[in-house]
Amino acid sequence: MKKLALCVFTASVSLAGFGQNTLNITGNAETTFQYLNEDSLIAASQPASKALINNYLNVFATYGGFKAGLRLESYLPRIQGYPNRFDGTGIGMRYVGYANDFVDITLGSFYEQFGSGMALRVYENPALGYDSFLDGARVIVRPLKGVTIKGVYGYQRFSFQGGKIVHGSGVVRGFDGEIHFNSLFKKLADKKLDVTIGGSFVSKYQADDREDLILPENVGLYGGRLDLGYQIKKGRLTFNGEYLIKEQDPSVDNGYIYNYGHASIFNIGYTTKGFGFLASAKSVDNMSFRSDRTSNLADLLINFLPPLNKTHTYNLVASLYPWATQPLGEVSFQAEVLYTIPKGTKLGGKYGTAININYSTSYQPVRRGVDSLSQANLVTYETGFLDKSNRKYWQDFNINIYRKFSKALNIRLSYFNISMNNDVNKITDYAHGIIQTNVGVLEVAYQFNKKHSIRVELQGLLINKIKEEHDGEEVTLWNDRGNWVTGLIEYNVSPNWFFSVMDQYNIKGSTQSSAVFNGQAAGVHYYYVSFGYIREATRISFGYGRQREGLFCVGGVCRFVPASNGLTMSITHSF
Amino acid sequence: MKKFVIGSMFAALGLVACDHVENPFPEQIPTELDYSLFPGGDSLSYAATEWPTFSTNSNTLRNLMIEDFTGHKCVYCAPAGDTAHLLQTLNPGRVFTTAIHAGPGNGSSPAVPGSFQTTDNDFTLVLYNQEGLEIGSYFGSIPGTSFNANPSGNVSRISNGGQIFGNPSGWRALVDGNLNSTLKVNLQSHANYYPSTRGLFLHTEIEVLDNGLAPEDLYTVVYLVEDSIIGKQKMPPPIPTEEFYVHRDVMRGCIGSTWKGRALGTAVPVNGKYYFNYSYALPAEYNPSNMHLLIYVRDSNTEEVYQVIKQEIE
Repeated sequence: MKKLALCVFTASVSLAGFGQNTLNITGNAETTFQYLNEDSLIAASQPASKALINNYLNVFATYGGFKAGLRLESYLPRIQGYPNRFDGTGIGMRYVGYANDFVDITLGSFYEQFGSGMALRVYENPALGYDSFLDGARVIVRPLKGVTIKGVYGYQRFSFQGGKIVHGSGVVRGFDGEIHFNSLFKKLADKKLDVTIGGSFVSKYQADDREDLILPENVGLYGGRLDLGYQIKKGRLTFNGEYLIKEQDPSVDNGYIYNYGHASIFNIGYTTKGFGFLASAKSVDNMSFRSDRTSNLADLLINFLPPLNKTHTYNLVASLYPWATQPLGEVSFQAEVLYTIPKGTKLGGKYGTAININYSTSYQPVRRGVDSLSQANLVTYETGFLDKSNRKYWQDFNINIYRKFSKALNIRLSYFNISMNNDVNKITDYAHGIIQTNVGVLEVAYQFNKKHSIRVELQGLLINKIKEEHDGEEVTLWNDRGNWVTGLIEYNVSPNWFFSVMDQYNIKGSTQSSAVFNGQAAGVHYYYVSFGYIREATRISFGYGRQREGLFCVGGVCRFVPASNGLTMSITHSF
Repeated sequence: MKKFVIGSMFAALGLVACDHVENPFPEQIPTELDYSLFPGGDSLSYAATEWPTFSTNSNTLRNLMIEDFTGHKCVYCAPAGDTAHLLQTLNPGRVFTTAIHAGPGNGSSPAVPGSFQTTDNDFTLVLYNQEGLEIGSYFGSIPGTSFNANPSGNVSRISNGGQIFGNPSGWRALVDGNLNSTLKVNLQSHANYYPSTRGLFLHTEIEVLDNGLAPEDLYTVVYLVEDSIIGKQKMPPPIPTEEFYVHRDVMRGCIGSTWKGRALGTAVPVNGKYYFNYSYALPAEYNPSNMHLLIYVRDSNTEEVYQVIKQEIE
């Protein structure tokens, strides 16, 4: 008995020693299934397998300072819009590591970002089918409070084929340092001015495999950043900026030129209760930076160039003519104002009224000629910081007013005026030059009671007219596919059920659109019904109907999604 | 530990420094050279072991070339040759002469030797060559040209009072007046000669210094020149014909091109310099130690020779 008690006591003491270290396992899973039909009206085809499925399961474990994780993926075959290289079942990501207050070591797959991401950002977005993690080693050291030093080394994930990770051919190396002065120096801790500086150096190595050119095998990208914050009474003024230079990086993207590249982004803002202001400027030239110089689209990007335009969520605004970041060059500006008319005022109403005005624009950088020696050495032009030409790429003016009328009712009214240069950002084959659209959206949400609520959206898009010449005659047409209207009704039975019906209608008017004039169907309804069930951390949804082809963009990174007609089922769970 | 980690990171950073490519185009082994003239005939071996690497050309001086159009039957040509030789002697390494046995021509095509250059039972030595005759014919057929007899010549084909050619009495003033003129084109060369095959490989580097010059207007020419050869020469009366006259710096032809030369526009500049390469089988009648090359760059619009250098063969 005494021996048993001693054993139990010893075991208890032993376990108590590890009591501070508990094994934590978290993760999430998602399955997306599609059953597709043929639909000639929208040029949707049925795949040979008829059914498509994507699956993944993430598992993350921590024990004290130790950490490990993996992701199993399965594409049998992959759903529409995913890179067609993805297939098979296997481990798509795995890592082990150790972290404490001083050091964080990871071996295997990891995601990382330096500063704004313009030097290095390797990340994952399952909706885009995008995963660019580095497979290698990462070390983060925090030698002092407020000082962070990171080092990364690895191959990038390029694809998932036959159930295995496929890497890009280039090796990526990087180093980033950041100092937050207010944390480093106690004397500055309570100061109104908050200062952070940082610097990054990233390089890639890829062997020169061309006989007709001498390609730089080690290509570097480096720069610095500054973050300032200043407390003004009840508000806060912020400024942040980052400037980077990229060395010679001839590639498929830039046509194998030997120009240097640069990227810079600056933001200044002010926020206080009820008011916010933000102004930004971005200057980019020749900043496509991939670990394989022959890759394109969204493959093997080492860095991330943030788009300087508002991310829209409404269907007609976000999915028809989205703007994609131009890594070869753009000079962009954005300004945004948020103001809440105080509650209790005549204009503000009982609950206040929020107004958001945003403007963004993007231009082609100036490209000046160079001397014959430079031309002979494939340095084909010169340009400078914020050196913009008059060629407009993009313009977006939008205003959004939100008002809560009662505890049950709120209304949001939005207007968007968007111009997009289709010759630069090719979205559609039926548009010419600048596509100009005016979009209006009315969104009404009503809460019947604690459980039941409804949300209604009405969207309308009016596009510009163009003149086309056919058989010697000038014809006036609506640009691209013409005008659209979308109606959406969403009904929620909290906390478990949701139902929605949507119809996106390409208006068949007396004037044809360029798309219809060139053979596309007119007056098409893209209907879609969906419902779903949510229980704790599990969400199951079903949708059926038509989906229009187009670009699906997240943060300026886009993928093309073909038209489809059929059933989509999705199950997600997190633990 | 802290120092080790931070130090390692900086060391790793130093190992991943970037590549900078000055010239994107790899050096090609020119295929127009006759590698059979290289003992063994291996172009790769020649490229690896014999191909010269030019260092920076630090020369800032313009050299001049005197083209003395002469003939062994021309009685006043010997004094002209002496004048040219004297100017070369007085300006070693700066003035180079060449005796071109050709007259202004008679408009025939191809050009033929004039009465001062022809051979016969008495004057048996052939001192003319086809390229030289073509040059003489070209300049002799320019309307209003002053080249209408022998002796006549030019100093780097510089125009003087609207004329390129002039009497030998005017050559000294032209040399003195242009020896310190601004260098517009720089030249350097390297030659490899292989006695077993009598193969000569010449490599030249041309740098256009004057941004106002268009490379497509410039041509490079290589003269094969015989240092000296003994033969008959008529002398000014009453001096009888010299039986054993030393004919100096006799132009024997052009290497690798017609008399007009090779256009710089046909070459892709490398770091702003143009490279031309030649292979040539030295004819059996020439002693390589008695031969040299004159390499120059001419302007096809004005005919002016912007620079000339001398390259020994052996």
